[in-house]
Formats: sequence, structure tokens, C-alpha cells
Amino acid sequence: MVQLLERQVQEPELPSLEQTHKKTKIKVHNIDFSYDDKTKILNDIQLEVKEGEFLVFMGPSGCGKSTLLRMIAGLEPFSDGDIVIDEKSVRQTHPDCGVVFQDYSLFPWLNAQSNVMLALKQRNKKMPKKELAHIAEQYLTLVNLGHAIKKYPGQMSGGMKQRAAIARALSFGSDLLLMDEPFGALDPVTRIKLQDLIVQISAEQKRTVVFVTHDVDEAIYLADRIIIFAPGKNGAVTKSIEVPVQKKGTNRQKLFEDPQFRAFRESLLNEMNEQIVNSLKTEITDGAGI
Amino acid sequence: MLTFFKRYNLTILIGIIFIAVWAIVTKYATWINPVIFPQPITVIQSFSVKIGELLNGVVSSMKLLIPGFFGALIIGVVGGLFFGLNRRSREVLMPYFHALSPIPPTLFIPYVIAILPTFQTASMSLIFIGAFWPVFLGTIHGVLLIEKHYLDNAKSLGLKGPTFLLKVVLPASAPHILSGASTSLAMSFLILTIAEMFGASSGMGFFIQYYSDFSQYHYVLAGIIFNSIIIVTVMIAFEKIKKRLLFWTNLKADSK
Repeated sequence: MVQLLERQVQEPELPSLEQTHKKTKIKVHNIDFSYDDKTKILNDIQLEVKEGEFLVFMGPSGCGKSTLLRMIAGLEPFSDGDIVIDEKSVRQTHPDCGVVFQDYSLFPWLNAQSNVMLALKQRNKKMPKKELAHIAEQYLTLVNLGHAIKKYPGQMSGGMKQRAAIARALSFGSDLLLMDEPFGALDPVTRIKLQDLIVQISAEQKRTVVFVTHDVDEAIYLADRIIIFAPGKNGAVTKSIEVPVQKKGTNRQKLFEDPQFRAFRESLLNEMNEQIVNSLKTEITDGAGI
Repeated sequence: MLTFFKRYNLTILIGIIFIAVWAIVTKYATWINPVIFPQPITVIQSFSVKIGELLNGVVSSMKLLIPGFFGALIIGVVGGLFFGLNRRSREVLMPYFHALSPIPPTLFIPYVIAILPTFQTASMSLIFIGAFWPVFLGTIHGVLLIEKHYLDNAKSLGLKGPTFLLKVVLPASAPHILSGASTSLAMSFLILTIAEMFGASSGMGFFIQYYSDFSQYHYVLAGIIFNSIIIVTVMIAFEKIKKRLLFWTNLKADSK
């Protein structure tokens, strides 16, 4: 199925995993961001994302992780610093990436298939409509929505909408996927199903993924590496943590029973809590937030 | 059907009572002028006598209404999209739009008659002016109110030019465009009937004006009822089309 899709959309041959881990996909240099020039959200962010990596931005709400993702996606302008994707600055060229938002990635006036076709058409301008429709159907089948290709977003559940949004982002053909809390509005069961889906797809298709979440378990389950965002006095403090557990292909239950995994989860939670407590302390000594 | 009657039994009853009162009062009350208030039966007879003339009137009116209204619709939407998307042009001209749009188009009657050669062109232009503003301003409004996330989406997919316009901007602003168009249509009928009362030689408004000049109020009343039915039918049809085009605003999630 996946091979079929790759052939039909004529994606370039993907290099092997060994090579991909050496190449840099995204480089973030000295990015600052503040609201109304006072409240500093992001301060001098430095970041590198390797090709084929699954990177998760994790942290509480309002600490700038979504903003950074939007900057990478070319949706949010920035004044200082630079973001370079595939050696091209986001300032000059609109980045080549598929984006999935929390709950509004689809156009409600188009059905699932037409939504995907719109993305496909951007990459395959000359392709006949029938073929576009066929490939769109294949992508929707890939995310288990083969039965609902004619449904409009208004007729779909939250989980279905996100599946369709993922199908659209994949069909866009870019090997970079940016996901902004895509499962944040879903019920826990649907959420787990979609996490499994995205793990499976990212393993099969070897795309680079940057994923934003505030959920620790989601972050550990999905990520190769986690960037923890903690709100600080002068903007968010980030910390990069490699996920030491080899998980791809392991099932969820086994993973959560694995002592190494559990230890890591524990330490990560502690880390998060500590940073949050610290930031609260500074707020209190500041008198801010009272 | 049965539920229809059950639900609207009172509504229907009120209608029947109204007609009955009309029939009784016009028949027995001596203080009512029988010329101005004819009996229902006379009005019904007038229908059958004048039905051909009434239908011809509708055809002749549509020849003025359709070009005027659809001209306004097309130019209003195109212009509205342009000004909605071009901030600078909008900022420059918006004060004029706000100043001009509330002016009743009927105030231009002397000018359009002086400038334009025929009654038809003059009426069409008045209808155009009246129908233009609601759809034009509705479109600008609709474009300005497009939810940011649709634009984010379009941007992330790199949609540009005609695709962006037709697949994103137009459908996203459609609710406001169509509600403007609905006002435009009502406005068109208003101006049409006024215009026809002045200078036409046929048409929906002309029929009513013509027979009132001869004090044949049973024809006038027949004309009013007939034309109201036509206008209400057109408006309902328009609302149906609107609802159909905006089906996506009113969808319910299936269970699975």
C-alpha cells in the first residue's frame, strides 16, 4: 500500500535510515518572539532537527511551542534570527511541509476526498482529476477512512477529521510533517489509536515529524527526541532530551511495562514538574500572576 | 401531510377567518366602499379574467429584474472580493462606499431618466444600483471575516490565485455573500415595482398602477395578491438555493 502510494505520487527514493540521521532538516537560529513587545515568549531559541527524526515539542500551554511550530511552517513572521529548512530560509521560500492543526485542518465545504485532492493537485498540477481522486482515496484508506471519503468534515467525528487531515498532510508529498497538538481535542481512546497510526506511518514512510503536545505520555510514546519547553522569566527555556527507549514496532502495553521506559517517563515528569514549580516560584517572587 | 395540518391548524384557521371576515364585511357592511374593497369572489373572478395579462406582466418584469439583479450580483461579488482582499484600495474607498450605499436608489430616478435612453435601461440601472450595495458590502464583509485558520490552511498548502479564490475565499465568505444577495433580491423587487408604476407599459407594478388609475380595485387587489405570490415564491426558491449552497454550515456528525 505504502509502496504503491510512493510510486504513484512519484516521491523521491528515500535514503536509508543510517544516512537520514546525519542530515539536518531544520535549523532554528536565535529565534525570539514576544507579545506586544513586553511579554517575552521565546528567547534565543536554537534548534536542529535531523532528517527522519520524530521530534516532539512538549510543555504547558502558552510557552511558545505552537508559535515556534507556526514559524517553522511559515505561518508566523519573525523579526530576529532565522529558520532554515532544507538549506532554504523560511523568510525567502515558503517551507515545503504538510501541516496538521488541532481541529481545523480541513475545509468544511469540501468532502474528505476533495480536501485531499486539493493538496495533491498542488504537487501534481497536470494530473487528471480521476487519478487525483484515486490517489486521494488511497491516502484516506491508509488512515482507515476508506469508507468515508465522501463525508464532509461536518459529518465526521473529531478522530475522523484528524485522520483525514493526516491523510491530506501526507498526500501533500513533503517529507516534513508539522503537527500542532493534532490529538489535543480527542477522547483518550481515539487519541491512542491515532498515536499508533502516526507511529506506524512515520516508521513506514520515514518522514521528518515535528509534533507539539502538552501530554508527557504522548511525547514519550511518539518521540525520538523531546524538546521540553518550560516557561521562564525571559521566555521559554528549552531542553533537548533523547528518548533512550527503542520503541518503534513495540506494542504500547509492553512499552509501558518496560522498566527502562518507566524510569524515563518518571524522570521526564519530574523534570517537567520541577521546571513548572521553578517558573511558579519566579512568578511569585516577581509578584506577577497575582 | 397530516402532521402539517396538525402543526399549522391555528395558522390555517386564522387565514380562513380572515377571508371569511373579508367576505362578510364587504357583503353586508354599508360603511365600506365597495369599489376600493371588493368582495373576495369578485377578486377571484378578476384573476381568471386577467391571468394572461398578469403572466405577461411577470415576463416583462423579469426582463428588467434579471439583468439588473444578476449584473449587480456578478459585479458585486467580483468587486467585493477585490476590495476584501486588497487592504489598501479598501482603506482608500471604503468611506465612499459607506457614504453612497445608504442612499435610496429611487433618488437617482431623475438622473437615470435624463441620462439613459429608454425606460428599460433606466429601470435596470436603478435595480442594479439598489441590488449592488448589499451584495457588494456583504462580500467585503464575508472576506474580512474569513476565519484565520482557513487562511492558515490555504497558506500551508501553498494555494494561490484562482484556486485560492474559488476553493477557499469564495466558499468561506459565501454565507455573507448570500445573505447580502438575499437583501439585494428583495431590494430589486421593491425598485422594480416602483419603477414600473412610473414609466412602464407592462409589468407587475404597471398592472397595479394602470387599473388603480381606472379605479378598478378588484383588478388592483388581484394584481397585488398575484404579484405577492410570485415574489414570495421567488424569495423562497432563493432561500432554498442558498441553503443548498451552504449545506456545509449545517451538517450533523454521524455517530461513526
